[in-house]
Amino acid sequence: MLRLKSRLVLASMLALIVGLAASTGSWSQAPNVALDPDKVTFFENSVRPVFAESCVTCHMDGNAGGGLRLDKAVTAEQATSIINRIQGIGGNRMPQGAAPLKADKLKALIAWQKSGAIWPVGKPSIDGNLWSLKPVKLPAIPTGVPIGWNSPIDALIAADFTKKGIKPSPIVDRATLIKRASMTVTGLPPTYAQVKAFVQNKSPKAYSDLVDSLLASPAFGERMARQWMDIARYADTKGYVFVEDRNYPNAYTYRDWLINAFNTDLPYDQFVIQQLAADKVVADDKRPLAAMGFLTIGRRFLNAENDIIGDRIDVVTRGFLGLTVQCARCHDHKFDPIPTRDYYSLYSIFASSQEASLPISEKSVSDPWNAYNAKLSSLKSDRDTSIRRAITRLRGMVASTPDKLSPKVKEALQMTRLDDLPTPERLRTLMQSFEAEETANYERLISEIASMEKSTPTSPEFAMAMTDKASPITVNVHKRGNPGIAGEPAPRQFLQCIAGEQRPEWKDSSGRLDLAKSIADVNNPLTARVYVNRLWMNLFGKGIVRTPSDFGKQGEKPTNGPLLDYLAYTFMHSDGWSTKKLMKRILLSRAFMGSSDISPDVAIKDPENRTFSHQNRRRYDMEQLRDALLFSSSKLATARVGGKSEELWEKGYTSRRAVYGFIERQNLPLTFKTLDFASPDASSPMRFVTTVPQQALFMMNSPLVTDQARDIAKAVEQSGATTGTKAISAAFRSVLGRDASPAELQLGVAYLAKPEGASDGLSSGPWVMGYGSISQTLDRVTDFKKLTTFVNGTYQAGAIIPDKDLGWVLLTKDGGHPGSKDVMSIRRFIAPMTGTYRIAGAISHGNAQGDGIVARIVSSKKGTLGQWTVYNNAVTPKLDDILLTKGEQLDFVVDCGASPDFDGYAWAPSLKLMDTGLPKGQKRSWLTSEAFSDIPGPKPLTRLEQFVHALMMSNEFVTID
Amino acid sequence: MNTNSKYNHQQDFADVFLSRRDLLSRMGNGFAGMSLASILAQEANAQEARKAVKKLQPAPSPQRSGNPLIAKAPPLPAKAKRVIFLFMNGGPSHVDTWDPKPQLTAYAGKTLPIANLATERKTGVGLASPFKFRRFGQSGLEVSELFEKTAQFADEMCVIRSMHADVPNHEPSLLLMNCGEARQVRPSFGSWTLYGLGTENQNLPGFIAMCPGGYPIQETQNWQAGFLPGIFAGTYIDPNHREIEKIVEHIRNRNTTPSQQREQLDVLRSLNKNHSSSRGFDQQLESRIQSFELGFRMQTEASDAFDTDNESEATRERYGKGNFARACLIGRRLAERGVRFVQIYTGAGQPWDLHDDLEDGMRRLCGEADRGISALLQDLKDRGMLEETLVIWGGEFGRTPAVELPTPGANAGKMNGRDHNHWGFTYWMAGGGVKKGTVYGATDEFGFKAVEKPVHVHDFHATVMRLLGFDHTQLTYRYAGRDFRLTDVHGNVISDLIA
Repeated sequence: MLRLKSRLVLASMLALIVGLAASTGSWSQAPNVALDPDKVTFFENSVRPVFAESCVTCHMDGNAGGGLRLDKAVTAEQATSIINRIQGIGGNRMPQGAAPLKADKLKALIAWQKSGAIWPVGKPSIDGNLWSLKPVKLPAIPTGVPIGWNSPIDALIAADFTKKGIKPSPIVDRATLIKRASMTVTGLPPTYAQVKAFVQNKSPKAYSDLVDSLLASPAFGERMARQWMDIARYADTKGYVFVEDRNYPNAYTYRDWLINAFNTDLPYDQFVIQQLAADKVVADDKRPLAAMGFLTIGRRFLNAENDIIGDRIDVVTRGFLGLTVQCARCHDHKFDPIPTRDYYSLYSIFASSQEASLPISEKSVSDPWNAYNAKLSSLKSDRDTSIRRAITRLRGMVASTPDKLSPKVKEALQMTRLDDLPTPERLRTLMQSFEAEETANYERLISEIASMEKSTPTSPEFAMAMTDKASPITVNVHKRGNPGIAGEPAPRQFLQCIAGEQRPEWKDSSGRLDLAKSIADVNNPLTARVYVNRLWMNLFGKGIVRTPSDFGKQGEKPTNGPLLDYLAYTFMHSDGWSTKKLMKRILLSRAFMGSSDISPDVAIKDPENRTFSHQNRRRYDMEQLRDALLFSSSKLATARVGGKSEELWEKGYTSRRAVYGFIERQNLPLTFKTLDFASPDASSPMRFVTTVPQQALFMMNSPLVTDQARDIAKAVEQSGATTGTKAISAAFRSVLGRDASPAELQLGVAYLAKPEGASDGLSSGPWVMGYGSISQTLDRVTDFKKLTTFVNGTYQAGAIIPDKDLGWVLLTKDGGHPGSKDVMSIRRFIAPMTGTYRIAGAISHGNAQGDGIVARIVSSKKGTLGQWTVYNNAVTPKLDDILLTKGEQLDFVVDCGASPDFDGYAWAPSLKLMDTGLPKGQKRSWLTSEAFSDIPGPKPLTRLEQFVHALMMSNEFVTID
Repeated sequence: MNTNSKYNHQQDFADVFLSRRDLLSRMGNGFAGMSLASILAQEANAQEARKAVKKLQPAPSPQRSGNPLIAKAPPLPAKAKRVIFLFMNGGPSHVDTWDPKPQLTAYAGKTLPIANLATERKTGVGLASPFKFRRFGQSGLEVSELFEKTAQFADEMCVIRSMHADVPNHEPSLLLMNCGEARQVRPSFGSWTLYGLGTENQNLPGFIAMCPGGYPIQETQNWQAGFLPGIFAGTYIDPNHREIEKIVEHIRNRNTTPSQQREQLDVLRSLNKNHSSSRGFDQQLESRIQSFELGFRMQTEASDAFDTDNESEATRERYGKGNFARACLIGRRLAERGVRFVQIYTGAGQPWDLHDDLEDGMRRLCGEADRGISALLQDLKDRGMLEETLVIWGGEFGRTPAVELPTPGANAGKMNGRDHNHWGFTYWMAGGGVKKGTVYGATDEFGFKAVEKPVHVHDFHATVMRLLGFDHTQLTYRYAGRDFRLTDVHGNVISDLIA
């Protein structure tokens, strides 16, 4: 029934469009004046797609297998032959090497062939099929919906799931609701106190107030900006560009503009216009210029203009319109009504524009520049003064001791006017008679000037903007994408499928502003639909259209068309393009509040939740995860908004939110990829969700995670959690924002009661760095103590060397230095397993002063194994392989001899297990350098820290129900 | 929505790996009765997983999320199960190695009687190869002395002497060879392979790119995932490093003893079980629980894979001392452990870019390469792995037979090197179902241009995809409105290269 109706609508629309095409001469081929509209509809619905999907790859322009092209009209004979070959008659069955065509498709082709094999030309006929190009209309709001589903949004959803026989999911509990709302709106979880207050708040406005406060939070803009940054392929670098500097030092100004735009609820039409053409609309406030980073922060593709413009066309059309215009770069779009000429019309617009680094606020630029200029001119004036002084001295010499000056110098002096500076050439000559100090002073000044001129003032804020070129350009279509083959001219104008055949050309300028206005037009059927769908996806995890950047034929249709249209229409006409107003309406809907648990009934009837009868459970994305980790340990810096980008995954972990992460698009650090970050190389409509062990390893072993666990545990202890129960209870509140259940308390308390276990050899393997002495009577090291300070790769006694008590004792990965007589440096190896070990590593001392060192290897079971005096030479200890039992200590002891001076030595011993038949994967060799990695081994986690860490690794921590 | 492309995946990876137990649970049978061990066993069983997926299509679920790296069988019969791609970055000279040109010797110092094709820089007269060629194996393959050890495997090899690319510049040629497109962002060959086949060992990355001392030019773009999920990107490893943490991120547990970590993961499982119990079965939650078990095991297995100290002295000696050779040895260890795609670059930058001092340079580079590669081939053969391991050798292009003329600031004063040459160059493959002991195609009599049966990079890719069990036109990915593939709209399978 429905189908028939839509076919009728289509047919009438087609007639209209075909007629239009006829009257204006269409694109390149003869119009379809005489074709039966029903046949056209049938062809476009059931025939062309079959050819497009199954045949054209091998039968197209440039790859016409058997001389047949199915990207253009065929003759009746060809049609007959096509039908035969598909059935394996008269040659290899087609499509060759692929599955036979499905029966219904074959049937359609036969019907088409029998009815005359018509081939409508010119693609406007596809328009009628593309749902997304139909005008946005306010749908009728269904009545008779379940109780509680009365708002228009809910009624539209309820009508859909009721029709499918689905019962709505219940409303979630308040704790789940506040976490869901907070995470989706601000990207930050609520604290325990916030959850508690919300749960206890009996006001009917409690939830509405919560939504208001979330939307008013600066964190809202940060969350929304990051989502748009995926669309905008944001990065702080250019990608591979040979040797030129890769950084976009001002990319962050675009991000900060985004944050501000969302926080101030910039109407979406303005949001579009500023990102494409802020240069045309800014007044006194220049900050909107930064919005054009949207166009300019793309990859540089070895500076190939065709590709840079292609990238801009892609980000604009997929980002704002959900159209894949870049498909039309080499040929007319295969599925959507986008001719190649449209691609090159947009190309002409961007080819008529140029990048411009423009100041975004007077003061932010002038202050640093003023300071910079003042310093530079003072240096220059010093330089000039220094030259003048020297010349004055030389002129004096002309009078007093002329013989000391060469004729050339005298000539140069004569030629230089009294108050002028010499020319560079004359200066070079004059400098022959400069005194050393004068030359040095002059050279210092010019080198300072040069280095200043190479640098820029601190932190001027520039927009990565665009402006129009002096005279706009109209390019010709690059046939088959080849810039060498010029086709018809492509004037600057909007897409035909939206603006129609009669659309104006933008002759006077680049057309960027016109383009922006055409996109941000209430009559544009795509702009609002695409954007509200993105907002919906942010709040529900899935879009109403599940291909959010492709609203064309290859994309999916909306799962609930009236809902999408309702949102789009009201967004434009009631909300005045206000993101916050629309989001609030969605957030207050019954649908948003539904449980994410699925009943078996729903699992069968709507396994993909296309009706949105319930919510979708989601896992934190990369930013939510990182922010939540730092948030749980109260370290996240939420107060400061905006600023330059910072490294996210390097130690010394920034406490800023992940939205401020530095994105190096050429060599994106692995952690981004592991955590399913959006590729910054091209506009990214949604994140992938993968589950791989590398993510688990990040949670298990990254210091970013364990550092937070330590801090939380510390806070728990400092808050006076004197008993296990109190500690576990506090840990649950900090990490999960809720109270532990009795069973969980029991689990945690039992865990705390486990023995702490041995801690030796955890971080540094079997090596321990320390000092002590050898007992002469026992022939053992009896007073070994650890060196506790680790600075710049060195274990030492305290922050300052020499230490007031222990002197120079220190150990590095290559060697060390003993302290005083009884403070020998000792590198201890604790045998991790019983076996035969080989000891290697030469000892060297490289100083003729002092008296050298005495090196010994001492076993805790066997005593001294060898002793070597090393003084300004190198010695390789020769020792037999030795059997060590597990836990036996081998000390590499260095004693200063008679004098503790000049005793630095190199000795990096290593051990290797020589036994055969060891289990696979058994570690066999140990280098002392293992104890010297960049980070000194962290202290082993206590049981409480381990438990907190487990809570952070839990599914609950990373899940939005 | 669907095209007829058989392997076309949507961006929603959650939908790809729907399994039987997921549906069972959805039907209300629940998950309770199945142990973790049985799930892990099942997860590891690629065939089973595949069948389960097949059986239940199309019943995708919104709540699911899978591990897209689970091993999958290819759609077409194929011998090659994995790839080791030895990448001679910088562009190795073919006329000094695999493509003997006696006529070039005859024209040494003389203008070649052919059009002087445009390359990156100006070239002059013919430059004879200073190296001797002789025949190897039953097939009588002619190879220069530089690769005499590797040439012992002549009868395993299929040598393509008619390769050609598009431009004589490193950057676009590297991207073309690695990603099938010279400038724009596209997934690399290795990530397409991973996308199509998954990987056999979940405890190691499925695609590993090694380059001693730093990156080749174009850096990590050479093994990028492009618009595929990031997890399909190659994992870069510098074989100079010995510390496992620099090889696999976060692989080392520095916080607890292994037994304590086990206890910690047990308590984590209890917490997660409690969380799941109030939610009904959810594959996404369940997959994440499993991923911690996999991660735990990965800690021991990954360390072992990269520890060449576990190899005998004799083996290490056979490979030789350099870091490329060490990378070959690691490559063999990774192949043994089921890593799907290993790419080994010669070294940072572009070592084979011998614009001058060709003879010295070739002796130095080939010395190490010949030893490492021959040892690798020997090991694969001895272990019976060569048949199912496709070994590929080649660079981004070859070099000119004509001498490069001196350029101020580059090779000023020297006339003893060769310029870039994309017009014709050599690739060889061994193992993995290639036609053994064959030479395919030819360059002109001087080695400048591929003239007989030319093989474009796209054709090469198409052929290798076929060796891996794919029709290159069918392994596609829907992105930005169209179905992309490694060969884009190009490429023909050269069936003469396939056994």
